[in-house]
Amino acid sequence: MSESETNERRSGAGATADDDRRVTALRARAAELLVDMYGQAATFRDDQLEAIIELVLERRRELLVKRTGWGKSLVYFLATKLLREAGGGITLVISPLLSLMRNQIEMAQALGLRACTINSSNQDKWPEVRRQLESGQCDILLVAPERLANEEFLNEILPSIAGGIGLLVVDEAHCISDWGHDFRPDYRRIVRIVQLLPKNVPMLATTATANARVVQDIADQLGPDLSIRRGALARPSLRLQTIKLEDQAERLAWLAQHLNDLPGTGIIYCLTIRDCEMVARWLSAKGIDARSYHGEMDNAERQAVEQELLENRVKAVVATIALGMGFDKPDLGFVVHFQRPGSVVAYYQQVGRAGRAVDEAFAVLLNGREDDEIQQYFIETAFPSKALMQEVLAAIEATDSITLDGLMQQMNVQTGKLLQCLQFLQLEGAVLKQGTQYVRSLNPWTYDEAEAAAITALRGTELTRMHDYVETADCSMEFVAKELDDPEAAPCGRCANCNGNLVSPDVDQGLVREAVAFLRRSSIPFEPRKRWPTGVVAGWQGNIPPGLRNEPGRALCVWEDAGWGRLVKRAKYDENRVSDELLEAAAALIRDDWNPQPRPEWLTIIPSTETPDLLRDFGRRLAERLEIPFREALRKTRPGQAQKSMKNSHQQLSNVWDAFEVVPDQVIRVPALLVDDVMNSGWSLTVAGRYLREAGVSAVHPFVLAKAHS
Amino acid sequence: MVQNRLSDDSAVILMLCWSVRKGRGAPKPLTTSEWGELARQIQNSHLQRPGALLTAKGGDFRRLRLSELMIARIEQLLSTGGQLSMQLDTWKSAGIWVRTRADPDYPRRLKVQLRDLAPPALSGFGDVSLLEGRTVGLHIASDARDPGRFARFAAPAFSSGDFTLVAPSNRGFEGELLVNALREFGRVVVIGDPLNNLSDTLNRRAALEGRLCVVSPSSPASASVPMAERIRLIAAMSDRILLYPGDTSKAADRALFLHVRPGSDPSVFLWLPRGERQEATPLLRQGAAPLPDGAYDVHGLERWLQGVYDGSPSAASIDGEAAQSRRPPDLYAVAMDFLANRPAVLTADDVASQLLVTKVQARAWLERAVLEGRVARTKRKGAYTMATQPQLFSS
Repeated sequence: MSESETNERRSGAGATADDDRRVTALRARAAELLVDMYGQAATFRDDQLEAIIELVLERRRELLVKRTGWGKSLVYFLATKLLREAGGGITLVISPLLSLMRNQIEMAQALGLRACTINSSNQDKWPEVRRQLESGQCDILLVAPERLANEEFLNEILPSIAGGIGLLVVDEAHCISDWGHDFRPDYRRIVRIVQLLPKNVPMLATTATANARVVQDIADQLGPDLSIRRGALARPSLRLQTIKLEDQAERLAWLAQHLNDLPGTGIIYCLTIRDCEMVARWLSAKGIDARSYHGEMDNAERQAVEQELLENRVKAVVATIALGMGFDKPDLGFVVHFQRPGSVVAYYQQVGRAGRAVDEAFAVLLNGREDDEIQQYFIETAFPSKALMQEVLAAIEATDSITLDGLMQQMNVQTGKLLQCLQFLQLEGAVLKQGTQYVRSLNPWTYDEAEAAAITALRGTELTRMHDYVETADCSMEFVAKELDDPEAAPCGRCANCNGNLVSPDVDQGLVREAVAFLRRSSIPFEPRKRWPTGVVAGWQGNIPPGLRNEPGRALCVWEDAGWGRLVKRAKYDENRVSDELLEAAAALIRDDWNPQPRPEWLTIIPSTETPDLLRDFGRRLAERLEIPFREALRKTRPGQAQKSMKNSHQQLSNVWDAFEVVPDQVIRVPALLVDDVMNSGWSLTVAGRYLREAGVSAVHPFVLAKAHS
Repeated sequence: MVQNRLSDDSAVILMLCWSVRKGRGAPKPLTTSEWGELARQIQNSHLQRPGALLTAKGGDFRRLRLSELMIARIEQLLSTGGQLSMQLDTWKSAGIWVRTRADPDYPRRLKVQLRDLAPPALSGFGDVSLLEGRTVGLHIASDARDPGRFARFAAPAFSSGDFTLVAPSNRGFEGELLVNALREFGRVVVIGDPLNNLSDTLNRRAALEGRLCVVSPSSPASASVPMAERIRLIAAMSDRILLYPGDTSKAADRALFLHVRPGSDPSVFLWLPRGERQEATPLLRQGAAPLPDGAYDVHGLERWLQGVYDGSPSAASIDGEAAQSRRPPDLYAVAMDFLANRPAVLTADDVASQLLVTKVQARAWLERAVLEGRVARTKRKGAYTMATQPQLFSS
């Protein structure tokens, strides 16, 4: 909507001379603040001032669909400033990612606003933030959507906000839509809250990646009074290229060979945490400064990596999408995708991190055959099954209330799956959480099969469109713009399809061979279990004492992976013998790469009912190669079920507890290597380690051929 | 149930009358009588509806002739919409509904019986339409003698029949009776905290079967409801009330009588076998009636509970005694009696809040007492003293 349209609507709605005076005064003050921030030459972009006026004066609901870097944050920062100057409440910004919050806090502070955040990583600061909120010393509070369901936030923090909430901001609003590429269940709660929001509280929703269908869906959900301001989404500085490379080794080789050809610093996106770490290690080994970044790193580590990238102290950060929406580095020179994302819109959002304040930035998509397997896994596991949801709900319904531990004792289901079910059931109002207890609500609940099927089908279609993007010979940017229903979609004249290769797709075969060797040496460290689950064995709960605990362990590979994983599978299920090649790899890893300390002086194995000969033979041969004695110091006391069929810690520990005993005359009271073929949960190693430590073994180093997929 | 969208009127009522802010400087929500007065002013002004306050400007408030302090308080309360919407969503997700006086499904009984003093908003779970049918209120005084024996004895009677049992709480022996009634498929409305009552399988099952409604005049997040307020509500929600009495000086029990309308429902019946009637004389004088003699065994009580409504010959004969002994209570006398032991200096506000009546009613009683020489005005405007003539209040 243009400025004249805004004025027309305002005057048409019975504006008074007072209203006009207020608009004029607000325009002047907003312009003054802009100049204070960005200097005399600064001017508003189309729609920025109009959106600010509608939020501040008319308390309207706005949806801004504008490209990354357009200045959506400026709209709510300035609106906040003006509302606060008029004595209004704080701005609550709901934002999906920590990296985004940190970035926005810094930006807000630069504009003279007092911003703070409440998130899972800063719980020690919550009392201080609460005091700031109580005393009116905070202008903007940033929270993640899931925080809105947190009891402490709802019962303690929220009621302490002096002056109330003057403006609600929903960032990355495409997450609201089932039809969006990144639908997040927690955004359902935001929709309900906006629907219940009294009309004296203005609301701003923003996104850079929403096509017409998603915009319509957002509008339908947020209500009929939504003003939508949409702009062109294509970024002229971006230069797109796709490169097909068969496997991981070729991609690693390409990165080592060509990353330094790309300008400045950038991000390499991977689909899994393990790939992030592996790619970062490979690049470092090849002399390229790279750091990994993902959701399993702690907050301080992630901040440090972000800072290194912001200050151009690394060439690249190898990240999952945990480093994504809203990360603001205006001079980011490139984004490389190590694997193909699941949709064109998601891809565009990720490459949108680059080229905000530079004339030219590169987006290179590497893709190959294994990408679809990973995406298919994501699609298939996006929704918990109907049967599982019903089972969880029935277990909760049968009691007054029940804890997560209680559910895990009753149900043989993975903890992650169980938590996913509980999250869905809470969001759908079927279950509520009171402290640590889950309680069945009074709302009826049925599994929406049609919705789950529709979203799964949509994800399939998006994947197909991503294939089409990779295959197209037409302009890549135009393809993306059309996917976003951008009315200004047109050939860009800058992408590889318009203008020829921007970066060479060739790879040096020598580097490919090095990458293969590297992949085979990429063992996986794992931490020992440190706590007994509550309520499984009477008297055994809480921390595992250090004197009964294993040392950190190592896996040669991931089950079925492209390195050694397939050979491990063949050894276990086809040949019942570990090949010499695998044996050599295991020995080399233990001796040369891992070199555990204190050095193991003997080797023993987990007794197996499933593959006793394989493990006994492998243990004996490995001990020979390591030149240490082999002893069968543990034996089975009872048959158990296959540990891989146990889905959570409670079931897994119950299955192996008391399943072993020590053979006293086989124990040597010096550091030992404890060997198993495949590690599922780690509980067999933990329980066996406990017996060995109790028998006097001074340290237990666990080693497995393969770690199961987590 | 909290609707997907909140009407403007309901939003204003909830923001003004329920406290979603806490801590230093948090604005005090409007009391029921303050809201009643404001609602009247809004209705008679150009604003007309409470929802208009959402877009009101300074001039609009001034035209309501409110004090500057009240305007500031209302403006502060109206800034809590963001917090309110998040709380509403949490309650809705638990299956807890919220109804305001602006909602069409607010219980009719409360509006009719309590008029301006009906709670501006209610929260709860279960089927509130249970209040539309036949209702019997039950209250066991906190200092009643051997209430356990009564509860055990009376339990079978309360779990049968075509009526809804209405109780001020589900604690103690009242709670025992309610649980028994629910187990035996009886119907119950109870004043209680909906959030805490939800984590009980019996409650959930009964609510889903349409046999239980837990209702509160406060937000689910607020502190517990005082007993006097609970009694006031069951008086408004019941056709008849059975009181198992205790020490008659208890404020909660007195509140029951203050809200009995002379000559109309609900009638208050006392569990008072013949030998004990002397002790409860003040209650009888104020308009309560003992249960008829035939109702002091289980079958008699059961017939009384059922017969009150169905007009059967047996019920009519049992109920006849109660009807004869029922006299409209003299509310003024009850109020004066109650105030006799209060502090020396009182204002109409004090009286209104202690007796749970409007300020207008309290002022009228005080003025009447002045005319009758029971009360004297002090030098302080609006304050009354009783210390000089204490004997006048004991009559």
